[in-house]
Amino acid sequence: MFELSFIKKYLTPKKKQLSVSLIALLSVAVITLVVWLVVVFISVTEGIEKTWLHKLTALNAPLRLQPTKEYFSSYYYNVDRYSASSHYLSQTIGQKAKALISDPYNPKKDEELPPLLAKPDRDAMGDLKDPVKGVLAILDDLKKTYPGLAYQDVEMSGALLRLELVRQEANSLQPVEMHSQLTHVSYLASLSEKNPSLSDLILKPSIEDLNHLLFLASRDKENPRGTLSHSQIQKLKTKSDLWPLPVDFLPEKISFFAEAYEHEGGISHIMVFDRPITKSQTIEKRGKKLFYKKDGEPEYPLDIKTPLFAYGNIEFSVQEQGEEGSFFISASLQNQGVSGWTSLEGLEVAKASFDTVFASLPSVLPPWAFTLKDKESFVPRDETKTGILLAKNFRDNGVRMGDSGYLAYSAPTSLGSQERHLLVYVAGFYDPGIMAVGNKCILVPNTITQTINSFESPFTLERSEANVLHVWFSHLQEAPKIKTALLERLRETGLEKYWKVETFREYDFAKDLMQQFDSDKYLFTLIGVIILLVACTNIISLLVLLVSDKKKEIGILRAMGAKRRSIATIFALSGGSLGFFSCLLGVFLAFLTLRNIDSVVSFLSFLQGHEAFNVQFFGQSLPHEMSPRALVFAAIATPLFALLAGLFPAIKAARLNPCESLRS
Amino acid sequence: MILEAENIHKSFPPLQVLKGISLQIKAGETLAIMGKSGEGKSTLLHILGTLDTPDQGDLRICGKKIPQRELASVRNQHLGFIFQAYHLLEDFTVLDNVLMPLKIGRKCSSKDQKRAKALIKECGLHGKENLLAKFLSGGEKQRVSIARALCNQPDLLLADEPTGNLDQSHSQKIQELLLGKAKELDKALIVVTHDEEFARQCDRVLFLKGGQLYTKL
Repeated sequence: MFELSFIKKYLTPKKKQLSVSLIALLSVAVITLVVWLVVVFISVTEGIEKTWLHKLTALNAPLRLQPTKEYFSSYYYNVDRYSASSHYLSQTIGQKAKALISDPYNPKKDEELPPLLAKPDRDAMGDLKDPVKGVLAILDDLKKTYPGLAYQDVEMSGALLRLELVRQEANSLQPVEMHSQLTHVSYLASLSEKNPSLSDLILKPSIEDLNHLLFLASRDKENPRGTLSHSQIQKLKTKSDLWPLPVDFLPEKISFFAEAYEHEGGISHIMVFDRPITKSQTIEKRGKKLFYKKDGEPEYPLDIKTPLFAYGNIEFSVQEQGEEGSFFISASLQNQGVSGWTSLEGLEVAKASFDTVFASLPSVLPPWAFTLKDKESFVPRDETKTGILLAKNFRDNGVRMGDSGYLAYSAPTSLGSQERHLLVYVAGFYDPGIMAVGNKCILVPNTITQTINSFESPFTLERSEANVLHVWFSHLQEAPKIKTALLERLRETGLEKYWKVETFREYDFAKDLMQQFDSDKYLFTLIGVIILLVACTNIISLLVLLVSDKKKEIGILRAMGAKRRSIATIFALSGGSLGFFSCLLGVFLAFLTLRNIDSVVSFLSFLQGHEAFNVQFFGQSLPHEMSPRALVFAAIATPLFALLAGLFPAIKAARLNPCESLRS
Repeated sequence: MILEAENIHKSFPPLQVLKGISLQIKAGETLAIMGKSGEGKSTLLHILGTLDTPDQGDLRICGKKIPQRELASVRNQHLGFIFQAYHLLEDFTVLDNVLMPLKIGRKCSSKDQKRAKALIKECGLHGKENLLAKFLSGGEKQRVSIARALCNQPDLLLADEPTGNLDQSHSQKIQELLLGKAKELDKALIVVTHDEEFARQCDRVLFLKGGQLYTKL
């Protein structure tokens, strides 16, 4: 291909063709910049959309089945209220699924059914159609086609959450306990243990949570076995400036600079500083004695029990974790190593890791929510209180794991309504993502929602919203296919009228967001196309100039028998090559930018003087994965537009009269 | 016949440059066309070389009338051009310039490359194969131009005042080279020149005047 050698010559910057070279460099710079911008922008927006979609579908499930009006007016649903075996209570989807028989009504024992009650919907065999077991059978069957499919019924309810917040003021040797209360009107959602994404949403315990759990255990004189056996404490630090230093920590025959405090003619206590602040007094341990020495005075022995205090913020490495909350720790005091066994008195955890995933249910449960290997989540409960999960904004507002209180709801009695309490404690926090009820939702075991829902209360929700069936699967894009398959099977079994099947794109609270994401995607792509087209118009100017510059060479080539097509190819491919090269450069720069997106955000925040991106919306850090769509867009659109931009000058060059070109 | 032109007319309104020119040239024949400046010699040569189209008249190369879409390949396979201003590709090497017609015709084999190098040597440019054309002298450039014209083994060489830009001594050498090579390789040559001495060395001389060709003035 002789054309390639010409493309290479024409595109290599030269002094001789300065204007062409400058415009070529400018074109490359502009297209590179545009490609970089488009790829980074599309990647980040797609990443954000992905994050939001994950948040949206993690708690709400990508597919849900809501019971319809037909379901609630059906004989199947209402008959429980007239049946002794159902305790004369409406049954939830979960309870219906577990029921041994579809029709619990016993005409011999139960009261007569009201005449207005709907007639039973029976199949060809005369059996009562079971909308719940029927749909669950279909879902089980669909698992064969979609192995990652999981489902669970979710109940919603409402209650008043009241937590007692006990905090310790740790700025003195005598910590002060402070009490406050938090009251919050809350929605309750039953925990979907089978939700494979739930474990991703549950936040790991923080160091503050661990310290609070340890504080509560010591305050209530409880053994924090669950807490300590499932956390690996690596570092401890002193809670305040003063820490009662056990004398065992001092190594033998090593002097420490210290300061002695006298009281009633004797030394009451000795302060050992973390750094050698005063050098006029020393203390040294020798055998069963402490020896104190002051400059200019003879050394004299002290009782080994003389209280010692370490002064300063000291951090200890944990060497060994013993039984009953004891730790073998070491630290550097005045550049000398001190170590020994101690309890947590006066100390708090500075660094630790936590066990949150277990192969099987541990014998001693941690106080926090955890996940079993098969992705099933588990929220523990203690003897009296049930563990609940609060939205993460509670943690941001100072609530800690272990805080306890109750959920209040009202129950009708013969004397009116009575407030009842369910004792709960905070077993963790979760990221609520996009929920219709947002941060007000508490995740609780379904025993709580069932208890509250069994009474008519001011919190009672719309029935179709209060109890729905959530379906999860491995890939979000499978949602429409699964919905179609599900509807088809429901139609076949005559259960279609009992269920409203919706994918996440159809949820009322998500519809607008989804539409916005879709419009954003099209809008951003359109903007990308437009700016890329504009950037590529530079190539037209460049090639028009190049054709005019190389007119004579075109004539020479034509005289030697070069076809018009070859001449057009040289100039069109010159444009295309510029586009391709700029695209490569732009994608590479975009890759670098995305890899260092946090630094870029910090720089932007520095320039703006405030956070460049809202954490609530964009998350802790911007997405940094390159979008394949952006990559394909850049890789196809840029060289194509550049090639198209080169076509006009290329055709012009091909149509040049060789005679005129030679004369030029 | 290598080339047959019949009743060629060409005008650049209001000027009528060529008025029914007919000529023929056979293989191995050398023909000089002389005439005053502006008489249309170069225009005639361009028409004969299919670089320009006549307003009227027929042109046959190797006995065939050439359709428009085949002009480029005919130029590549049957014709070799030598211009007064050399018209080399200045940023390419001597070898690249000589090989270019072959590359355009997509037939640049190693055998062709060897032949091109031999031609360069025969044209007195041995050792300068890899030199960029822009660094050559006028005489050397015209030698490259001759080598390039011959490289594709054309049937007809068309030279437009090939010695016009050269001094007497170089002019003489180029004449010898061009005529020598045309005879040696049995190529037809049409040369447009003002140089009577050069024209005299050709087999035939025609004079262009008033848009028509004459054997004598």
